[in-house]
Amino acid sequence: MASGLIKRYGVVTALEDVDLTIPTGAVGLLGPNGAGKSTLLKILAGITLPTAGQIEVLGLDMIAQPLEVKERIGFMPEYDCLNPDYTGVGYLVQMGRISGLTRTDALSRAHEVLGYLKLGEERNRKIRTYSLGMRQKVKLAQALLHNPDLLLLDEPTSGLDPWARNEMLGLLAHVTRTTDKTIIISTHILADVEFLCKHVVVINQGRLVLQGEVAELKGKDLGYVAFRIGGNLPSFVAGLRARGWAVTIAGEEVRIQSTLPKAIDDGILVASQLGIQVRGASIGVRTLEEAFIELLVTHRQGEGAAAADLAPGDRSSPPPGGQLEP
Amino acid sequence: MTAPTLDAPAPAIPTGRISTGPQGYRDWRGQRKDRLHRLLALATGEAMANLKNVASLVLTIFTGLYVLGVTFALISALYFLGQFADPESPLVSFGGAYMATYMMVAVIPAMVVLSAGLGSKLIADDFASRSIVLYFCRPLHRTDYLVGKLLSLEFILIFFSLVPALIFNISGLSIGTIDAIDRNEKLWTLPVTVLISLLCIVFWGTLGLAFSAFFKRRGWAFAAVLALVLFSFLFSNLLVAITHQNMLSYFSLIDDWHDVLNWVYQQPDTPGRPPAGAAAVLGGVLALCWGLMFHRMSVADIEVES
Repeated sequence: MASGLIKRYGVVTALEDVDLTIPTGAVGLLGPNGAGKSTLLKILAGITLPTAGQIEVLGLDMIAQPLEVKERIGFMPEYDCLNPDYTGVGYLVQMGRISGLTRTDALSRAHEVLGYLKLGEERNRKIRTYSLGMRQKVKLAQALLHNPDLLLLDEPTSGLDPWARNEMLGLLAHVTRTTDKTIIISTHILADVEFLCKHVVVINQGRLVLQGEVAELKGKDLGYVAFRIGGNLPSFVAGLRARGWAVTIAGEEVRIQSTLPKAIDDGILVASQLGIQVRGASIGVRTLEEAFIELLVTHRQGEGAAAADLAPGDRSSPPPGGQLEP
Repeated sequence: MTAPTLDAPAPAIPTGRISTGPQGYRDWRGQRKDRLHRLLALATGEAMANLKNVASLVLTIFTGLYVLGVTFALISALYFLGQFADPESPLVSFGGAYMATYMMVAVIPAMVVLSAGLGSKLIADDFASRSIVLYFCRPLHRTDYLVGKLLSLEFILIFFSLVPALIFNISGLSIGTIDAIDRNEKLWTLPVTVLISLLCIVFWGTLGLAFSAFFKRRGWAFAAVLALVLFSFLFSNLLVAITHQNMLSYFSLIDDWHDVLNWVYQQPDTPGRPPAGAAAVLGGVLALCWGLMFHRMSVADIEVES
């Protein structure tokens, strides 16, 4: 839980008056480049202190009891941060012992976690010989090693090829769904959040924009049923209109402006009468990406209006990014 | 509205294939060790890792051979001089002069080389690999990190200062004294040797560590320590030669140690250069190193990401 959290680096404000409560489970931390996500994660991991505000992690005051909090936290940074001179298992043993495990526990736990992450065969190789995907796994392993209650993952799938990314997502999903850990995942890849997380926190320009469930961010359905068909599209549309439905065409989709079950029934009926193949029918919903971008645009418009009322230099903040970082 | 697009490839949602090992994920519920244990774990782990590095190991072995060689050469000299030389000669009777000379010839050079060679790796590698962030998110303060790194160096340095110095001191008392009375009169050298050896490893270890904190490449840190020691020695002696002011050799760390060793082993001071001044210079360098390292640690996480 954070209250009135402010973090400034010189004249640059990374976080501005953030009030936040993170629920148990997997939480996606979203925001454009320079939004303050990594700063928030570093504060939660105890790597940097806030300029002002209070922060309570796992029921403990991070500023007053940093070591107690850090015992229960696992942090996986975004960038490559492994000492290449160590072997995989050697590095984990060292990190485990610094986290408070005995030598015996650290050794057995290192083998266990590397086995779990399917790095058992490579555990005695130097880290410098590891691929990017393997390094990501070691980073995850060092975060999991001491069995933390809170996992902070900064861009866990960043830079991975599709196969390695798929594997990493599978691992994270397994940890998320089989343990009672709280996992905060900062990422730009919204589909990862959609897949892994139930809750989401959105930050923009150092300010909290939204916190809630992913479903809440996406909103309810868009009020239409979408059909993808193979065959005579104008005849299909005409058939539906003849039955009294309001119909629009969006690309290859035919949308009936209703979410009533009867709309789907009628669509299938019309298609069968005309000999048209129905390739798909679904209730129209926004993707998380669409909802996220819409939210940011709304927030920036609001910020822009507020900034117009301020004299220049009233507030320093990272420049608003127009593009999302890959 | 034209929505910005993500550059990332379209995600492939896993299809239920969870890549876990056969045993799945298991929680660990063991007893956590306290802060002191964690600090010592950092120190011992780093010391072992340092010695596993081939360059460090070669440097350590050669330095060890040098220290051992000097130690046994001087012990042999004491023994043979005792056998054949004039018993009244100051060279025969072991004492402070022998210890001061031994420390300057055997221990101080070993400290310079090892603190530069092994110390330069400790923090520089963490900056270069950015693994310093992983230490900072462990249950240790940044001061603990520095102390742990220093201890890891001291664990090695102690075998090249305290251990050989004590061997030499005890050997000297055993074979280099005239009789029991003479031996008893020189027993004071033992606690002095312990104290000065410990001070020696703290000073040179800190110097090596401080340079390691300011260079991202180990080689640069290594060269910088050696350059500082050699340059300060040459520069100060050049100044002394030009001005005939012995006080100017305070600039030389080696000469400062020479003065301090003469002082603690009750040898005559260098004219015009009180040993308290040398001790103050060494203390000042130590304080400066720690101050700079603390500052460096306070901005390390920002430095790593920039």
